[in-house]
Amino acid sequence: MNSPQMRPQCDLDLQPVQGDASYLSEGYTLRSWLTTHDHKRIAVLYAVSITLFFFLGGVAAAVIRLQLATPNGTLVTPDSYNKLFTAHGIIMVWLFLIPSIPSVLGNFLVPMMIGARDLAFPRLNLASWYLYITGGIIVLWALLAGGVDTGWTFYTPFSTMFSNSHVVLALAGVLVTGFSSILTGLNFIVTVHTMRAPGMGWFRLPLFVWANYATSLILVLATPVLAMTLVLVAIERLFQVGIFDPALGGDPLLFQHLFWFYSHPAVYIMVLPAMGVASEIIPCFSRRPVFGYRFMAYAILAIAVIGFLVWGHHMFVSGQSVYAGTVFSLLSFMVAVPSAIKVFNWTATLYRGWITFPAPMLYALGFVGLFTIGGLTGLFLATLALDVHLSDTYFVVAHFHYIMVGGSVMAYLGGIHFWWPKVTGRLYSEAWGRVAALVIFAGFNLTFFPQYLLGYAGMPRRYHSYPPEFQLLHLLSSAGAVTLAVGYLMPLGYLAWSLRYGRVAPPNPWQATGLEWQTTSPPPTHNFSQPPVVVRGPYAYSP
Amino acid sequence: MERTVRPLILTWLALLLLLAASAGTARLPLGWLNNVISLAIAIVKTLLVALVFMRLRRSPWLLRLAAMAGIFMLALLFALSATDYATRGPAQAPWQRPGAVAPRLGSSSVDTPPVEPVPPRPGDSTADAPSAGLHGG
Amino acid sequence: MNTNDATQTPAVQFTSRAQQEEAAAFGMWVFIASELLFFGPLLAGYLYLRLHFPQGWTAASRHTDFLLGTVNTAVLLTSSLLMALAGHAAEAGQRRRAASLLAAAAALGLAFLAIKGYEYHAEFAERLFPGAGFFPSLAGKPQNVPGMELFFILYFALTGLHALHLSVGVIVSLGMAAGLRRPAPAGPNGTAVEVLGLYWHFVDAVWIFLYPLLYLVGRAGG
Repeated sequence: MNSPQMRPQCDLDLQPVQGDASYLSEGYTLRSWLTTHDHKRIAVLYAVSITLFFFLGGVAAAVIRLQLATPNGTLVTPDSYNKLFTAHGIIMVWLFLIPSIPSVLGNFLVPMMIGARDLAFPRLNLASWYLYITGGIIVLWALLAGGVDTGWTFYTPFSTMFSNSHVVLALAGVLVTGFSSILTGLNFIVTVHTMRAPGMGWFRLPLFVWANYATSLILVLATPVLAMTLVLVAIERLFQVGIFDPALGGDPLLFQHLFWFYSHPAVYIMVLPAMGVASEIIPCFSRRPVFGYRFMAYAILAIAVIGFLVWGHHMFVSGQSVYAGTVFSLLSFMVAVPSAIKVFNWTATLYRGWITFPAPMLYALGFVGLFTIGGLTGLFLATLALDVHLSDTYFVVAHFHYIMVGGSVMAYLGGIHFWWPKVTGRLYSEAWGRVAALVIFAGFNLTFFPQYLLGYAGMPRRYHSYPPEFQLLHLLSSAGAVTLAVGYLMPLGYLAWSLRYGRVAPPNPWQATGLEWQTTSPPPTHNFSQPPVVVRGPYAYSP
Repeated sequence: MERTVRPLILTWLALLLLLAASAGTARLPLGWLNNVISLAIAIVKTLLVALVFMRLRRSPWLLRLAAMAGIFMLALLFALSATDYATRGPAQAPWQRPGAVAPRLGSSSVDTPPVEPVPPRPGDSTADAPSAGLHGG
Repeated sequence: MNTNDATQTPAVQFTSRAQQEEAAAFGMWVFIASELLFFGPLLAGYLYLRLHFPQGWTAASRHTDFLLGTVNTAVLLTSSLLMALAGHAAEAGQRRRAASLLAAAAALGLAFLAIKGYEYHAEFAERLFPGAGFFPSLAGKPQNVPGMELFFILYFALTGLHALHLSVGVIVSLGMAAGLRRPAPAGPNGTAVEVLGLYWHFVDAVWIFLYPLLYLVGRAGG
């Protein structure tokens, strides 16, 4: 970990003059935080907010798993159960996963990694956070007013005609949050194109920047489609005009095409930044440059582009024509190729490296393995014939949780730990960090692997009760959920503890090569005391 | 100032001329050609606005790329949805009960008799247990 | 938007004025791309429904006001010209002229909205608003020519969304016109007017497409 042969991306001594304040000491009042234009402070604002929503969504999941511990559980009524999995989905997708890495780690690091002093539009960045909070409050209002029972997917005609829950309110909350993410994406795109430091060509960018850039393309181009689709659902629900009602000439599948046109690229919004985090951590802790940097960058772009072409694989059994199903199945197989290239390249990066296992590395390696399993099961689901059997079962639930939780959440935690010294100026307890990572890994697999078996055996998703023969697997899954909950609570504890009692962090505790490590921990308000000049590519670790 | 103003005025005149052409040809009975002509004229007008008024003609390639990205995405949405719609007939609705569900704002259609909604059982939502195929993954 | 026009000092996050202006224009184009995708589902719905209800579509389009729609298109095209002229004037430093042109463009925008409002009023009176009491005069009961009500849903949604975007443009335009009356470096600069212009032209371009899609279907029948 203390290899002296690594070469950072710029050579200048960027240590600020003694007495320069960090961004944290710029102001201590609540007002200074709530009116800040500093991308780093806005990142912290996001971090606190999404953590709150994560635990709220987690509580919903906990109740679900408790209900499912017994075949005919009476913990909640069937109606409440529907509202719980809807709440879990809406909160976890839109209020946690989509903003997590881009709005927390991306906001903090993208300007620093390219050598800029802030994002292109700092006030827009703050507006994004306020929009996110407003959307979150509206969603909370919908939940407190009685909840929504349509599932996070709001399928018509149930959502437009038959649901008696607070659909329009929930739609409004998601709409507002969606605009928040569009503006964040816009900010990143303009920043990366126009504000790179001298010498920072496109192929010297850290892969984390590439990942956030591609994610931003998806945010800007896909989210507006979701926004309008949700507006149409609201119009249909309020006025019963018939856009999605076949009896009046509309088509319920039109909703699904429009919804999944966004929601499939949305899963790449959730996983691409995670891949970017892994690409920063793995080279650092194997002391080797990433294998095949150019292909990694191209693969990121390919995932973003092809990801727009595959949405119909969510609709194989919905009534879509078989011809369209075939086209989408083929395209879905294609999107697996760049993902696989990345997995191979991460593995090759490890080869003959000088590998150590601090907590971030445990999370990153866990990400690679679990993402691979999730991705492979995605291929099973992309196969038309298999999907007929597996669609709407727990197999699908397990698949997407492997990617979103085993993948994205683990990468997010890995990134939080990796950059924690930079953001806070403190070192967390490595022992606790490793234990938590292992508890999370074990708990995750115990929760979700049985769900593959359940789904394959025919257990449908979104059911509040099930035949007794499925109980063992459900019980294992619920036990895993308890373990996972403990694992997630641990970082809350030791990370918060480190803020006050942790050792003061040096500028570059991991001896990493990015520009963000060439400044103090925590950084000064304008990131660099002098504009950096980039003289070499990223990941100049020596083997 | 004059050198930069002239192209703008000329473009504006061209746009008005194209508008007149569009409105005029719409009244001629040309069958399917009507659609083609009106859309073609719309495309030309948009190109004029984009290239001259929005200065794409003289802009860096980056801005043109941004312009094309949006159009390309829209085209993708239409094209891939079309693989579905072009290869099946209109969705045969499994139930045909217009007016069965009252709109939450305003009243239902004038000509169809209102149908009594089934009162919900306590503790249940009004829909039946979700059937496979209505909820996707 | 940074206001240090005379001294050419960029905002703190930028390293040069040129970089800031490039970022501003590019940012607006990215926003325009996202707005195009925002209109997208309505256009997708239009495409689907028009292909499924061709008779309903032509019958419904005939109920729109051809004359007012055409006049409105001309109004908007002219406002775009004025907006483009305002951008040139602002860049040349002619702030008063730019302010007048912006105000004139905004006035034409308001004229568009007024005409549109009159059209809506007439359409409500003719019972063309979808929902309760939809009863187009030329076709009688909606069930006789299916798809007419769906046309009007899209008509009101598309033109309503467009009008909303135009209203935002008018408000910003008037604000900028007022700001330009202050001497530099206070108030907006040439880049700000240019960026507003991009937005305005986009709104115009959307209408250029909405006009044939909504007003010109089936006009040749007589």
